[in-house]
Amino acid sequence: MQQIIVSGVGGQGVLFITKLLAETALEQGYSVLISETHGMAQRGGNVISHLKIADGGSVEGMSSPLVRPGKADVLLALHPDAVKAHGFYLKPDGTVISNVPDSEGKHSLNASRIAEDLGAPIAANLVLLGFAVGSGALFCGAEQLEGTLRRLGGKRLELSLKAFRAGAGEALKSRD
Amino acid sequence: MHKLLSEQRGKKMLLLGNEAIARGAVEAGLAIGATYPGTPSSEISAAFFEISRESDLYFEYSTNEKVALEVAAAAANSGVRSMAIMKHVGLNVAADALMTLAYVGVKAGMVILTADDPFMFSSQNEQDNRYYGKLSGLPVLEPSSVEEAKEMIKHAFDLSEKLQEPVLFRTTTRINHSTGIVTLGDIAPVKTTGDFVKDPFSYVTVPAVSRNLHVKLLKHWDEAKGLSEGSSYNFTEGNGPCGIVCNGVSYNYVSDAVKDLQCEDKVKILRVGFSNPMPEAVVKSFLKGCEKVLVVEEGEPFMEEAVKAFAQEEGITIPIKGKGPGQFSRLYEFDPAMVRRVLADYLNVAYEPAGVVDVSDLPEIPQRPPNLCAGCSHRATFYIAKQAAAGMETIFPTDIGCYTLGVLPPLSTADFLICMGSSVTTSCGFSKATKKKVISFIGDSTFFHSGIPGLINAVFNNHNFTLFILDNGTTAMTGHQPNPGVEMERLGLSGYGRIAIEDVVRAVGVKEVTVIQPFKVKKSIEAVKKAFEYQGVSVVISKEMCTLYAKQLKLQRGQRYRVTDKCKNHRDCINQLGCPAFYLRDGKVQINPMQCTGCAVCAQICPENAILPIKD
Repeated sequence: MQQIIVSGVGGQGVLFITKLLAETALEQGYSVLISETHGMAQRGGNVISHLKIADGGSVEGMSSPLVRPGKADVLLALHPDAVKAHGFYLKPDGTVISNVPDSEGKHSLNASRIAEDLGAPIAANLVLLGFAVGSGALFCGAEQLEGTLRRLGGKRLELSLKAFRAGAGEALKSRD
Repeated sequence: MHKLLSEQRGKKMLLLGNEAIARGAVEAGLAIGATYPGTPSSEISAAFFEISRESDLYFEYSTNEKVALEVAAAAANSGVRSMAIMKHVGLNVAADALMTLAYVGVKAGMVILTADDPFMFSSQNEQDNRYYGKLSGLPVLEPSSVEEAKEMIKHAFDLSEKLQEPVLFRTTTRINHSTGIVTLGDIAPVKTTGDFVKDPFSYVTVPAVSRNLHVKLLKHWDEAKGLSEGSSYNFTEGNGPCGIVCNGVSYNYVSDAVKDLQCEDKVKILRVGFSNPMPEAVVKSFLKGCEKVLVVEEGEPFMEEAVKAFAQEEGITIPIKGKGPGQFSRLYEFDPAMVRRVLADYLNVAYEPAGVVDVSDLPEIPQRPPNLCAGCSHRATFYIAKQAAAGMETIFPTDIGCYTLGVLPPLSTADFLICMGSSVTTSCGFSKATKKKVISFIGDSTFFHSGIPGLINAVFNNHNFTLFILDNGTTAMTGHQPNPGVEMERLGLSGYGRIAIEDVVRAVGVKEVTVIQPFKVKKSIEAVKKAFEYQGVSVVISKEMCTLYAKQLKLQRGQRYRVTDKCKNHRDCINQLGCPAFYLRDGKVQINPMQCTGCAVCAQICPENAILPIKD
């Protein structure tokens, strides 16, 4: 079972990467439960989604759509503020993967800059997702997520794939 | 084909709660749906709108919730299945129809979906609409999960047909906006056309008829009681001495907490999904096996009061708790940690909240209140209104829509708001009771929804204020739904009428009508000054398409702006407009080209003319 919090601000694509993760989990035969809070997200407010993934059939302890404080395995922080705002959801030994301007350490990178350099500034979410899966922080592998992205990618698929792979590549670099 | 029309029975799909509800209605053979959009219900209607373009479903965006409910009521009394969808406060608008429709009843199944919003994620109050069930005498169903919501909607139609009464289907935001795995069922054939058989002594609610209809309603109420007793949506789990009565999403929090606290043997749970009428015999027999009872429900003590009343009738004196100090609050949304804490206390077991990561060393982050979008025409209109009113003592009644966000500085153009349409009507009161200049704001969709009667009142009673109608060509706040002023052809749809706001305003007798294009700032300020000078009701129609909608329709202006070296850092742009495209770099104002939409309002107010188009 993995509990993931995806946090960012309106327009960053919190809900899209949540959907990618959820569809991938469904494809892999996991049970999935998601809850989103996006009151007036499109007008620039905070957006958070709670994602619970459990082995197929077993929904023991995961009928609540919300993650409890101190219970998230992973926090995907699309915005630097997200760690401060929603860090309390993380387990003490949980992993935070964050998009920050001055990246230090193996779990953060400047996803916005990388996306800009690719000519796809709105794809920072996919850079960060690629980075997270490349770091081994997620329940699934990069190929599986990429497969879902191909299915749901839409018109900007090529750029999205580029961004996703760039993030995954960064993870490999920081592993070395 | 729309994904919710899939005929693959047994297929598992990941659906938003609102999509699951729409699918349930499709499986139930819904023929006619009507709504006025409102969060958290909006995605149900959005799905119906799309589905109606490729199936036998008739769906309409009605002008308001009362209209939607009455459209559906007539359909159900003509023998076709119907549904009216609204947010919780929408049912207040439709309440007049609801109360007497309960007397009249229905022939085919009719479901009224009310989406309550505990915590007010996007609402002006957090009223608990289960009380509408009690007030009207109609049954209320409440699902606990996304999957259950889909099944329960189908049951709601059957229940409605059995009782010959509309059924209230009450959700909360946490169900509407959760996503879960749903198993598709068969789609029932749609009966699109029925017949209305004249029977005025059943349908025309003159006093003599209504006296009989009330008797019929109470008979239906008694039948509903029996159905609630036997409903599989009211079930018990466990055999312990500590009773827990719960509903909706709270049931999930309780289930998880009981397992986590390893208290399965201590508790007996009654999950209530058919909550009005409350299942009296079920509750009474439940109480008899308990040493004490805790009622876990968001919102008001609806079940708690019923449980206490049943206990009194049976002479049961065990403690029954729910709302109160150290227990649950009537405020806001519940969360799993809160429910766990109260349950641990109730069950006398130790509960250590999970350790959390300490982020106290991180710097405090700024609040992120929602803001008008970059390039939003409302920002320009607010600026124009304030400039034209310079030196006046003003009151700004506002209304429900994106423009309510004008409440924050630097715009500060919202002083009073209670509900849809209240901008116009409270302007009548303020202008009589004070000597200040009253300037109010209402959007196009809200004007059609409930602004028109207020404006007629203002003309008839000769009130003195200026009303801005912010016509951005769509219902923006809830996600760009159509309204009677929208050009449907732009959406590739034909066969709709279109009502011009200016025609309506003139037709109801407003003599001073000004139409402005808010992105022409100076010209608009001069025009608005004249409107402000007028004694009586003056209306300013500010016409400019919602910038997000324009983007969707590929009608954007395109040319973006930048701050040049001529900038002397007056910062009028930031301090008076506060557009989110501005940012500071090394103390200088810059414009984020990703956000700029080219409205050019800032360029027009810059005292140095330092903001110029970006040349490609």
